Amino acid sequence: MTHQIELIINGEHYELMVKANKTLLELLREDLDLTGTKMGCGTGDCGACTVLLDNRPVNACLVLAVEARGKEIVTIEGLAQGETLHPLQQAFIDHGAVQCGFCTPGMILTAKALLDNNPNPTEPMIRRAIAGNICRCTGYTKIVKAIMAVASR
Amino acid sequence: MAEYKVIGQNLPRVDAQDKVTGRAKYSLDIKLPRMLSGRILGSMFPHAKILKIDASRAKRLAGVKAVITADDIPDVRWGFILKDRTILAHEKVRYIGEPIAAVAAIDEETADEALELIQIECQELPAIFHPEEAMAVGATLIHEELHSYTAMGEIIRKNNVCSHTVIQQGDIETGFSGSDEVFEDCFTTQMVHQCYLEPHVAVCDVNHSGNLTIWTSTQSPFFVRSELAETLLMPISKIKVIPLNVGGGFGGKFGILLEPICALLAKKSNRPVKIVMTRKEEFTTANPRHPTIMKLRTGVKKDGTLVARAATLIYDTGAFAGMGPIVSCNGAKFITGPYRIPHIMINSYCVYTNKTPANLCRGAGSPQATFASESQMDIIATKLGIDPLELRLKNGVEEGDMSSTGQVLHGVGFKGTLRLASQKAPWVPHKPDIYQGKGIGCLQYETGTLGSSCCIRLNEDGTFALIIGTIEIGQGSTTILRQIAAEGLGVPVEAVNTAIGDTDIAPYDMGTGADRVTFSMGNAVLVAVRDMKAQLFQIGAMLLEANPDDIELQDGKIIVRGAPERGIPLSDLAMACHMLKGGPILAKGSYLAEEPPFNTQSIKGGFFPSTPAPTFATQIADLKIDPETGQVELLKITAAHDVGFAINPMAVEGQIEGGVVMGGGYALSEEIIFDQGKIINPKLADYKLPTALDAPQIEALIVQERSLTGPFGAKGVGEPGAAPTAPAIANAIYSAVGVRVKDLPITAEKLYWALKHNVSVQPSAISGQQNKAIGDRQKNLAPDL
Repeated sequence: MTHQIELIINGEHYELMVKANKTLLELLREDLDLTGTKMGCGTGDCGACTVLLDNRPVNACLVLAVEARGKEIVTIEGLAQGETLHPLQQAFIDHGAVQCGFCTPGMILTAKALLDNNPNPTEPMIRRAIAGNICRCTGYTKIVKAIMAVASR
Repeated sequence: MAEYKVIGQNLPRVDAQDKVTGRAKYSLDIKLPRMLSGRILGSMFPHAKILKIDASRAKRLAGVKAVITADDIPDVRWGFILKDRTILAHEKVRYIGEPIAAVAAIDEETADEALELIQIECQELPAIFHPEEAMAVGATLIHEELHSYTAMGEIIRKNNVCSHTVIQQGDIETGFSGSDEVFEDCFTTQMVHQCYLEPHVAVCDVNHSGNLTIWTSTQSPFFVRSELAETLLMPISKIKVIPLNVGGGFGGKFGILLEPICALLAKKSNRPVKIVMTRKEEFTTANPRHPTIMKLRTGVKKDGTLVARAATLIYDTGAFAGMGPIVSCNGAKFITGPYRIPHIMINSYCVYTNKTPANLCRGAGSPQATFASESQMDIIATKLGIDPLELRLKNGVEEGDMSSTGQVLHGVGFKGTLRLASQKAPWVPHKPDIYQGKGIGCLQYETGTLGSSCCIRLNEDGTFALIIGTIEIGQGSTTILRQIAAEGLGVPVEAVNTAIGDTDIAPYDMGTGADRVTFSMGNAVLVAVRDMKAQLFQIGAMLLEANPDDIELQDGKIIVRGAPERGIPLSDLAMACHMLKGGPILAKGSYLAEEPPFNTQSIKGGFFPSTPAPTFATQIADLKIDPETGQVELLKITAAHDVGFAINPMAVEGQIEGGVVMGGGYALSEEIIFDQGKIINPKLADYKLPTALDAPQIEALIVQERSLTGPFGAKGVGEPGAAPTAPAIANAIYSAVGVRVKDLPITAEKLYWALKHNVSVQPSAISGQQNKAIGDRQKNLAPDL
């Protein structure tokens, strides 16, 4: 059974037909080719597929596309303003917070949601906020530093 | 290091911009027209004879385009060390999850439905889950034809032991009789998974001429190509492996896994096929770290001098050998730690069981051995009343000392790591709090070798293309090799572009692993740099009508020494070459380290007895324990690593920090738990990976005792990070609460029971109902352990 949904992704308005069991992750990656959103487990355990749904970080693999009806979604592709990177993107580069890069999109979006709500979080608050985003490469040290650097501005 | 302009600097990664914007492409992102989804049917039984496979109903299902079983594919056995496995199970299955059949269909749902329609009749055989049972006389054979398998090198094998390594120095009995105290301990470690974030993915496309193109999440494209050629009975030249970003590897993506199945489905369906492994399949079938049983007997003098060590190491390799024989050999090589021990007798066994085949996982056998060796160092220190740091300083190797195989060690920064870590941690003898503790863990490892080659081409705008087949799995090689090239050429880093080529284009490289890329490929880059410069100087000399010996490269121009005003910009030179002589200016470099001399009598049935550049590390753990729950909270890890020379210190820190957190997970929480051969927690949530909340503060410290042969003195750093952490934590727990846990992981539950019984643990004392996993591993061990 398919449903018609309308939603906004990275500021663009979409009208789409989706199957009832299609996840938001499948919609983004497979139908819209927004492959910046990654898939690490498909069960909501790793956070690689994190996107912002009405400014809240969600695991796109656990959200049905139909649940996103009428909502606004931001993926990693929608973060930079033209050539200018979002301060978090730049900080991740400058602080060496990127290694394999597979957790990076989800990690940055989770951090963005945190800073949008609380521009001056403490380190424990940052660690708590990104606890749902697994990174196997960096040991989190430089990721936390990058987020702190943006927070302290 | 003012003498260098490009290396030694924290340059940002070349791939970072694409990675933070979502542009970076991984195999997972590949989508081709008419592409099918592939799925694999795994065995339900740990050990069984296959009587009949009926796939006819699956073949008839609408949307199914190809179904394959062992009958449809070449009957070829493959394996790096021992050719002991087939692409799909043939006649027998040896572990739960072993691929038996595969389907390609229009979507994953249809493929999954088809898998359910495949009927398999099996006759169950007795299964063995414990390696000591597998080694017992009369045990069921997991590979009846072990002796007929083709093997690499002189491998010692018997019954269920697929490889036995012996390392011997001095005279062990003399050593023990000359010792004042002898310590006997048994340590056990669990199976863990690399848990790279990107699952294994393969996409295959076969064209009308039968040429196979493959996009795959691999650390080793050339390896994938040769193993595919071998298993599919195809010429190497008809296979092209296209490199992409890899979302982490840590050893788990070395060599083939999904690739031949995917290729066969693509061939049979005549359409592109993509297979993405589920997390459950990752845990069940994809290359975890070997669980071990390690019995150590160590003789020491009263003053703490190490005299003798005998060790029996058992590496449980599961159903197939994989790289297991190298892993268990590494255990034998490094069980002596970074210490002088004149008399050693090590037996290391790689043993088949009916479990998931283990393979390479960050440190390849050394994290296990390091846990045992470093835990026992503290047991010795406690008994003799010597400070653990002093004991290590007393016995630690220095320049000119020998490895366990009799290789003379050069560029030895071990004591530098001990001093720096103990100064920064700081190492203080007194305890700050009743439930707080500090512990040390040390490591000796190696920089891997094998061949690397590359090309450098001068572009028409005067910049250089560094053409390599080295895969970036996150470690930073693309950036680091570019830095090495720019430094060597004497140009700004922006003037070098790293181009990672597919296997049709790039020169051969053995792959990303074994701490070998910076060392081997870095050296190959320097060879190519010399070739490039020689060619530039030849052509420059012709154009400038000078002697090549008088030509220099300065600020992007070719000049005659002392006369920079007559210089020719490299861009002009590149074009002039095309017009006058014929281009392009293409340099090549290759490197294969010489095997350093070692004592050939010291090792039997082993691999890589000597390697070019030893590496060292000291980590100090600060932690506190909640006595009510047994939960360990890591406060800080101070990690000093001897990396020879840090080409990019920020990247080196990143390797150390990532390693430390992986080591922390190994120490405290991570474990693949089996029940009768079936994994009961094949899910990231139940497996318990460290999150940002579990990760401690990390102080990454770089010691630079240059290697004689590394590029600018550099050695490897990727693998060691994760190895000394677990013993540092175990030793810190002992210092905090006086409880010695010899079995990883040291879960809150395990520590809680230990504290409650107030015993210096004794894994067997807390086996049984309280912790089934320990019970399984410690079964049949001596009761005094």
